[in-house]
Amino acid sequence: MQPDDVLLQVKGLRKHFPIRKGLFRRGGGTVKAVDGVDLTIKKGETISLVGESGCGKSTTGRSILRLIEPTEGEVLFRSRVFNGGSSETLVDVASLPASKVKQLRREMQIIFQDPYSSLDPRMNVADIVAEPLRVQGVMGRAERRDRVVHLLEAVGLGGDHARRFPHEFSGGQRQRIGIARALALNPRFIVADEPVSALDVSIQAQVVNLLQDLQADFGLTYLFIAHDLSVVRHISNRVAVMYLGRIVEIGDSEALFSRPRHPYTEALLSAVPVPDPGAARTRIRLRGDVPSPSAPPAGCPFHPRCAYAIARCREEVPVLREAGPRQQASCHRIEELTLAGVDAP
Amino acid sequence: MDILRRYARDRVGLFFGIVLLAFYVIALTANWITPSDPFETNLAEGLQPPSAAHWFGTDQFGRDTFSRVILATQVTARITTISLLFSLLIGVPIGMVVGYIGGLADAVVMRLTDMLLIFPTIMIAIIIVVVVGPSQSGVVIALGLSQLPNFIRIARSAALSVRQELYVEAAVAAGASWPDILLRHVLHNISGPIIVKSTLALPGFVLGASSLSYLGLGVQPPTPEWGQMLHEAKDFLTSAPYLIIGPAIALSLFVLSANMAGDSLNETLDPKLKGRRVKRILPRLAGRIA
Amino acid sequence: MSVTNLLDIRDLQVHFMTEAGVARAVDGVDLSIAAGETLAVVGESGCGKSVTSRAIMGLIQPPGWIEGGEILFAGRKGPVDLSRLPPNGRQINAIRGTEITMIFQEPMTALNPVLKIGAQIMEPLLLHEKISKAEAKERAIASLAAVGIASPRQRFEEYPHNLSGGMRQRAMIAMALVCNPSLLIADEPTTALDVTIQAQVLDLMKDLRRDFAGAIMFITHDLGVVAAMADHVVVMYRGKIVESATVHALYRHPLHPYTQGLLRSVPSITGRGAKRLATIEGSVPRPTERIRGCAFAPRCPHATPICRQEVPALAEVEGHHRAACFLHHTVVEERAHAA
Repeated sequence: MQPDDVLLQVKGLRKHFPIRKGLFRRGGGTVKAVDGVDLTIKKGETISLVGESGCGKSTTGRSILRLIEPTEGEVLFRSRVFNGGSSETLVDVASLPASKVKQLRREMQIIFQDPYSSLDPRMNVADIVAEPLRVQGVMGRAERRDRVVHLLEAVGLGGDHARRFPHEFSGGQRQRIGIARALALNPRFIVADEPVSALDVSIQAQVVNLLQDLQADFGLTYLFIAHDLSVVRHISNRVAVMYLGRIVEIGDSEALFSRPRHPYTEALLSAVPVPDPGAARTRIRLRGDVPSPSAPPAGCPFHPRCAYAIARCREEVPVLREAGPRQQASCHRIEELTLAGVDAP
Repeated sequence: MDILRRYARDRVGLFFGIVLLAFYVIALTANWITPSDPFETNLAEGLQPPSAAHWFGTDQFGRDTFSRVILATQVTARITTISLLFSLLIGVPIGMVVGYIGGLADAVVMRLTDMLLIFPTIMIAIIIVVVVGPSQSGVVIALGLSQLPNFIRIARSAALSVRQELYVEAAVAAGASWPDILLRHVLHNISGPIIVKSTLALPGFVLGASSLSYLGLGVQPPTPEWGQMLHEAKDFLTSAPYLIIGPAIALSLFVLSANMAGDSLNETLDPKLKGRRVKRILPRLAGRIA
Repeated sequence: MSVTNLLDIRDLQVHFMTEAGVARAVDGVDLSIAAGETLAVVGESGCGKSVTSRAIMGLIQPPGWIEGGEILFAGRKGPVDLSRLPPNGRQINAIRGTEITMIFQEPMTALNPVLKIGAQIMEPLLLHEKISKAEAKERAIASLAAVGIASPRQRFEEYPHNLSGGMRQRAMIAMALVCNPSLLIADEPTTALDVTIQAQVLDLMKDLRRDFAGAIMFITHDLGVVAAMADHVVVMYRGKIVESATVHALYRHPLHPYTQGLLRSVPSITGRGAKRLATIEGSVPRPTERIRGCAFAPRCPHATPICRQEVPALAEVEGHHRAACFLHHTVVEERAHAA
């Protein structure tokens, strides 16, 4: 299907949530949270999903891990667990029976945004970090204890933290505990769902550095979900921009930031406040708000807010197509438009 | 340990907690500590006022009221503990499971608890008495059933809120099955509210058991029970008013201390509630008595 | 202190009683805001920036209290020390909501869900100004229009849940400005918003600064937002101001090691910068922890023995640029010597 360096391929992923009105009564319409996402993730890379709240980036990440059941689509993953770890087999995560999903969890993990809600307040750090090991039954008690100490050291905490409880730690330390838990089973692929958004500025940098170090040390592949574009530019090889459940632009990080090809990407980039009072920037003011995903506009979903919209945009849905070297965008006017990136000329 | 220490910091709560504990110690040791045989009748010494030998006097059969109050403590403690366990052991697992898995099971169980809540305890009791006859087990089933919906509800709402927590999603991402999550995460995190609810439900159980026995639907003579003793005492209200003292004091003290201890426990587990205790407890007591 | 200042805070101390002891949330803060100025207060969570603003609003409630200091405000009825006013008294109520108003991070929690937007905007007008209901309605609608809400007459009749997040924040701003306050306190007003909506709201606030004569105190943790909004910036750490400067001076030439660390640890969107982010070691100490000397010393790469002994004062290093750091005290002393 795909070259050897591809770890995961998402094809036509959809997740529709029914809107229920009252008990038993259905048919209140659906929210198309994810509406046809195609994505290829290569081994060892960091690919970021960016977009505003409600664009479907978190739902995409969770559907790939099958923490949410996708409505439609394939998530092809090169798994090692089913062949005794020696060779790779291609499995479709989206249609795998539940019994096998459990095995797959050893290879795919998640790091959460909120370091408070993501740790059980009644469990000590050792039990939290060892939970995946216990659930998977891969180690004995003594082995688990050693592994926990090793993991805590890998994320910059001490083994002496193991007996303490989450409330004794700061936000940054809690996030490190969550990262240690995600690493416990030696996964190959990690979905990091806004892992630094809830942290203080001075702590964000520590965690970003840690994630990069761990990637190098353990050969991890990241799907990084974020809304902070500065962090995204720093950490990613490639970036996918989502709007109303679809990817509107995807490309190498450098290219996308310096030469965006979709008007929404341009607007998103220009909206980021830069920590430099002298920075002379022209800001593209977007009109209005993100429409509700339960009633997306006809034609291009972005056209009501787009400064470049023409008649065609109101009628025809654009598809994701080549827009440059290793860059794709879904806009009817790719060829005509020259959009501004964030790099000063 | 930390919780016990914080609990001990509240002096009023601690005092009533000790009183409550004392009731259970009396209940456990009742067979050995009664000054005289609570069943031994002696018509010659009937209806005697309180004295050094009989602190609360004797009833119309000459039985020592004090000894009967002590034995009644045991009877009451047994009935309420079994009823509480009945509602806890059935209600909490049901509530937890339907709260966690949701969907149709949740909807069905919730409607059933609503139906159960419509009937007053007394009505359930009467139906049960008709079925099994007036007895201790009848009281246990009646009280247990009447409190069951409350425990299902509290376990369900606690499970619902725990289900939203990211650490549950983390456990799912680690491959944990739902029974595992219920035992490891949900049960752990809902134990606080459930302990509090149990303590706060205790006075309800005691009052329920006593009112049923008072009405003759519960504990049958000659076995003593506070409500049943009050029932017997009311016939001698003018000639021997002292008969009412023993069971009345025991009943009120038990209800008050369980309320205060439960409230203090609630405060310990949820520091946001601090203060305004009198404002909270008085209406609740008034509601119970009415 | 000059008399032209709208607000002068002197040695403000706000303490909180916690399970672990007394937390000195605000520990000797001096700052002033001139009429018409925009002052940004920057810092990480727990640094005391929000508590300072709540002290100005008279919103400190048990378990917190104002331990000492003054909050001198040039009110319309003459100068007043806000820290001395009883928290629910008539005086503070007359100032709060009219002369000093506030917008919050979460508009949904600050708006009453069962009241119409219009009624909520009219409320301070009807309460504090002797005008008719019809007049109040016209002013409320004008204020909704001023914050860029389309079809304000229709929105006037709607409830908060009918509005999107950005619209709600606009409605909050309209409510805060309807009485023409002399001081507007904005506590992280764009933190909960998406980046394109944040840009709209920041643009709106910049536009309003031109027409609005009052001063703005802008509280945020986002250094990008500060650069876009402020004239003057104070940086807070552990209840103290560690640096105070004009926005240009602060970004061009930060003096305090904490400010330097903060600015360095933000990755640049233009992609210029190191492969590895610079960090500030350790984490913000707990508010109840007692630290001898400079509170930042345990995390500071330049700390010297004196930093662990004594607390550095906030001293003027260059014109209007002040820092609380012993690294710069030699400069201050030399200048004092020369003078």
